[in-house]
Amino acid sequence: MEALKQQLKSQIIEALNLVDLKPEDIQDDAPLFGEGLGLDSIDALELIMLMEKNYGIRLSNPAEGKAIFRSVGVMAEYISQNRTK
Amino acid sequence: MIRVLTRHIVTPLGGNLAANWEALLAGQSALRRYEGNASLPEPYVASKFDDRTPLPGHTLFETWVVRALRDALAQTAVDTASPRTLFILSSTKGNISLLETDPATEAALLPVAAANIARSVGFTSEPLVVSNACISGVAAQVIAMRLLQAGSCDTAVIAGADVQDRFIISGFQSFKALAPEPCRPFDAARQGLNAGEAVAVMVLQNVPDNEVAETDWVLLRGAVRNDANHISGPSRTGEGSYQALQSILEDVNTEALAFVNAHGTATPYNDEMEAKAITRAGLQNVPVNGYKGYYGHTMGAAGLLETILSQQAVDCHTVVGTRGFETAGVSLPLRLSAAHHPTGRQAFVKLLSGFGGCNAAVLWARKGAIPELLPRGMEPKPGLPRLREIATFSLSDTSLTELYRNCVGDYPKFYKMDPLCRLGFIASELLLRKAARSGQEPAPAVILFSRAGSLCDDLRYQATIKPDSFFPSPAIFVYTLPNIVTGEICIRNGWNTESSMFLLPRKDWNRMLSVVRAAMMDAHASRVLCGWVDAPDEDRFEADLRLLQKDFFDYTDFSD
Repeated sequence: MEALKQQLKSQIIEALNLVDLKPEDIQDDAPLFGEGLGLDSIDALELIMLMEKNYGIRLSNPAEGKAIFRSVGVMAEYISQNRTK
Repeated sequence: MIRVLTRHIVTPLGGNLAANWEALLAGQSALRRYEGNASLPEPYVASKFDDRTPLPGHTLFETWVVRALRDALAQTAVDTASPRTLFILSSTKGNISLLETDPATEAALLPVAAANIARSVGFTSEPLVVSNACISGVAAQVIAMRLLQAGSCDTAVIAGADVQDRFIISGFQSFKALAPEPCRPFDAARQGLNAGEAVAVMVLQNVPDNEVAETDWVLLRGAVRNDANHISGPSRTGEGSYQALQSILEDVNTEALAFVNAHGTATPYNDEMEAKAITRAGLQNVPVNGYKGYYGHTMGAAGLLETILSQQAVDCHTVVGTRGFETAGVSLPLRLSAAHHPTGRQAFVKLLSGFGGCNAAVLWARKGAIPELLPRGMEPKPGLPRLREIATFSLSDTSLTELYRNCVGDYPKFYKMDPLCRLGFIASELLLRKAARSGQEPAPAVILFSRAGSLCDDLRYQATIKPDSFFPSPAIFVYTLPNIVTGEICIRNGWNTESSMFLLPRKDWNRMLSVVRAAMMDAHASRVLCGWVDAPDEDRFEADLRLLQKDFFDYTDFSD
């Protein structure tokens, strides 16, 4: 799980072009949206694509993302339970 | 007066306006379900032409436009070869599918496509391409009106079209913006839009008032305004759309309006935003309708197609019903109906909004209805303004990231931008710095020109939709619209002003200034940030910007 979280942080930084951030700057339980990293609706869609591309998880309803993208910790939990690759 | 000389539409519902009108009255829709398409794994609902055979020497996109232009002009005396006849092309992605097989092809660029079309139809003057995302078809009417009023041309021939293939459809799929069913504008159960194909042509001329017939269609006013809010999501308060409406509704008797033809894409946010803008503008008692349930969202054609259908509807004393609408699903009460209704009124408002935060509105009337619509009379003809230079800034082929780090540094969104937006963003920041602002200056309009447009980002997006690796990226797709750079600049600075992107075959300040001066005939504009931004690849780019002030009206330049 720890390795997955680390991997996920690097993938998020790369996919969302968070150039000034390093993986260690993202806390496992810090909110990704709103105050956290200041991500927006396009970033949420990009995270949906990230999950599909890297973990084979398809979210057809973007509203489902809200709960899953709360934090890296929550996201990692969801991925480990639902990944198909 | 700016009068319609002729109009023509071709859609999957019919090859001309009469056939389309018959289909519309009968409640037919061109929307069909497409699945099992190897290049698009997910099924989708769209309105598409069956005939996909191009003319020799032309792409499919060019073929549709060439044919429609020939048909539209055949019955007219328009001299296509005259240097006073201007061809304006309205499209979001033109020949984009060529990139699938040849990433290096110049033919994918809209100015090249426009030149190919112009050559076949016989236009000799250099075409102007309007690439303002989904508002292109109305933005093209606005600039045509201004250029005619400025005396830059005698006749403006506007054509709008887009081909709905892999590139655009996969992009909207990645945005989760497509409905799995025929779309339902303004309905409580609406789930998104459908893509559509159409070609629409409108020919406008500036004619002395006494030569305009009472039944002729007159383009009275138009405005383009930015939300300054977000590059893909519309303003939650309808700010830009409201301001565009406010601009065209001054002293208008709204009881003379037959309807407001909304954008009505059937995405949750668009329709809600429009309900707010329409209500804020005081149009809550005017019937509202949308045509996307018949044709889908026809992108570059939408503004022209929907304007022409609205004219036809008024000519036939009808408010067309909003197909797909059943139960109101916006937070404010609008006069919406699924059924057609009779009307005796002879004027309407057309609205569009698009990515990049842009919004457009136009006011159309039959000449005979103008006294009732504008009881205080028409405003005096706008003068062609002179523009005084406040500051200039240019840069080319340098490291934009270094410039950002050294000179700006406080806007991490910079890293998300494509090369065109990075270029326009940095250049505009440094231009404004040179202008030594006090913070009290009026917000300028943002009017930019480019040749390659979003090509860099188009290629990056194309790489995400390869058949063997199909993961369309929404964050890349959004930048495949060249006008996003104008939106980024408006968002950064909080400017609810006009934002426009035009594509030209080369940097030519005379040409750019003639368009900018005409655009500045908008009475609400006093300053403009304008110029050239071109990034054909990541290491080769040029920005050449000017901040100009509308100095005084020089009526001596004005030719009727």
